[in-house]
Amino acid sequence: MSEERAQISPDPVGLWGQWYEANSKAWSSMLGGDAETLMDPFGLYRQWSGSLQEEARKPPGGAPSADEFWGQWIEATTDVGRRYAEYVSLLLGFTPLWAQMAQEFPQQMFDGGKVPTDPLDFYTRLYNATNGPLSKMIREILQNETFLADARRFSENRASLETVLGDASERYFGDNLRLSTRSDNTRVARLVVGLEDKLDRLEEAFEEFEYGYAKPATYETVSALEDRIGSLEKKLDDNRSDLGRVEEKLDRLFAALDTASNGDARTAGDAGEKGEG
Amino acid sequence: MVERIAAPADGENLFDKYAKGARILVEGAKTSTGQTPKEIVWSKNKAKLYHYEPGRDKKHPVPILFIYALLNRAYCLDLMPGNSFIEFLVNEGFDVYLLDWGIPGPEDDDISFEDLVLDYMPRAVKKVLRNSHQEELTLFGYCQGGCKSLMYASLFPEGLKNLILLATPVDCSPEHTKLYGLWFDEKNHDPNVIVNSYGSLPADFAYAGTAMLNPVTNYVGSYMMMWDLILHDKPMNNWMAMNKWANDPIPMPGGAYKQWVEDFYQHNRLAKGEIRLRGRRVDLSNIKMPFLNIAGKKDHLVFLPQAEAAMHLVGSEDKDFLVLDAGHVGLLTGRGAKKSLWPKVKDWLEPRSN
Repeated sequence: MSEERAQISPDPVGLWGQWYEANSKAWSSMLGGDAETLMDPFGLYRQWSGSLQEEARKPPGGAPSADEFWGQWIEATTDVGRRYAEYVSLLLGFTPLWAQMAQEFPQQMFDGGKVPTDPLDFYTRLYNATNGPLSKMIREILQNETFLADARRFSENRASLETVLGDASERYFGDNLRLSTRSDNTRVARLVVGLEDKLDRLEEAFEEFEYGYAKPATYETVSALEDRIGSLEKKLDDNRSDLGRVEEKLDRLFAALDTASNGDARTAGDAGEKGEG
Repeated sequence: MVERIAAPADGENLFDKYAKGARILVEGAKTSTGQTPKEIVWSKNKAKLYHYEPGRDKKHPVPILFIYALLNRAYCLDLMPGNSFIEFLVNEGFDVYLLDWGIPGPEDDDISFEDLVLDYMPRAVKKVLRNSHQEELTLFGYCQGGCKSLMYASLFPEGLKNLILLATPVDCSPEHTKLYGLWFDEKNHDPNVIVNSYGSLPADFAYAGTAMLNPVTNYVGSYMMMWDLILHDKPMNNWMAMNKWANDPIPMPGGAYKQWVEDFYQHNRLAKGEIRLRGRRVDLSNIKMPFLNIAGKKDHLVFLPQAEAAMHLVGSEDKDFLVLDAGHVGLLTGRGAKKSLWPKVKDWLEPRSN
């Protein structure tokens, strides 16, 4: 806001804005703090004021003109009138049923020559007189296009209201009061359901084993496997002893070869010594 | 038409009777239901698999697995002693199981038909087969449970010996669904509005949706009958049990509700063979096991052509269509059911359950 004295706005929204700003300044200076860091006591009102001002600042094209407004009003009024006329015509269509009820009613009520004194007897007679035609009427209404359109509108409005109330409750109890809300409980319950599902899958996997779908290892199969491993080990032992024997033979052969080669060398040395001599 | 009620002369007695009626009106009908002895064989989330009278000798080894709808309580199948379809079958020597979906909470809002048919039902079927030491069972679906049974049978025909459907809406084209179809029409109802706001279909909505199909009878006629029974000292057990069940709806998970309205009613995908569960197409011609389809002439929820459509779509050679002179619930319980449905199902099942 400028330092100059602001002109008083004729617009109530502008007036409210000016009042708000003046108050903010007064609070700030009184508390001696920086207006930016102080808690804003009028934050909520500022938002409201801001949104109203934004609406007011909209270009003239954004808001409906008088003609458009008039057109919309006419349209809405005509629609209500049309629906009303449809309902009236629907009810008028029930004239034969009303007549049937009017005919049936005295027959039921004065059957036996006297009016029932017991209230239940009275209501039974009333029910018997009106049940058939009323059922027909209600069925007709429930099938009526206008009624169905209104019912849809009503259910949509109710659902919207439910959503708004639900969201507001969540915010108030959850965010402001820090209480556990329906959505929190639902989240926890979902975790429990998920955990239970995992357990169920585990149980199923165990059952697959138990009931033979996965062909589990039985005592017999393990014993057979042990026998086979045993025979393999035996064969390996046999092979090892054969290899030992081969190794022994090879050792002997190498020894013999060594002996033979040493003997040849000695013989050759003796012969050389003799030649030199 | 309700019988005329003449007040008894005894004033004190009359006061007691009025008090009794008033109490029912205020508190609702309170009576014990679902009393056939049973044990829980398996449970997952809210769903429970019950086995009825497990210790009893079974004349017919092939077990029966009942699949119920999501909208009402499953104790309708076991209403009360002497008026219980399950009790009747158990007494006839059948091995009976029931998959009760339970009451969903907000954490179950996303549960869909995929979850029910591909996750819950295969586990339940396996459990029944293991528990009964059998290789095949009879799948029995009632109302919406019949649709789930059909989808399951088309995807997993192995392990199923027989399939029975009771009051099952298969063809939901507008010309067959009358008032219900009109309400569910795209221009009159958008399930997303309900699902986005409430998460699931609230129980009150579910109740009103059914009761408004016949409002005078449901909201007034039923209580006129109550006064008649009270004031004439007639037995009230059956009325109490039925009234308790009718006024005891449960919410339907939002995911399943959305599919129920859009896929089944608005687009009639089951009859058209266009339902896909996690990419797997539900083709009803895959169903080859013996098939019994039962419908009620006076059913104001599922009309005859809706149920009859299954006869043309299912691929079974051994198939029967049974039309009974009863309404949606009257098919299952009450004097009429004892004389018609119960013995007929028994006669059909006996030769196919050994």
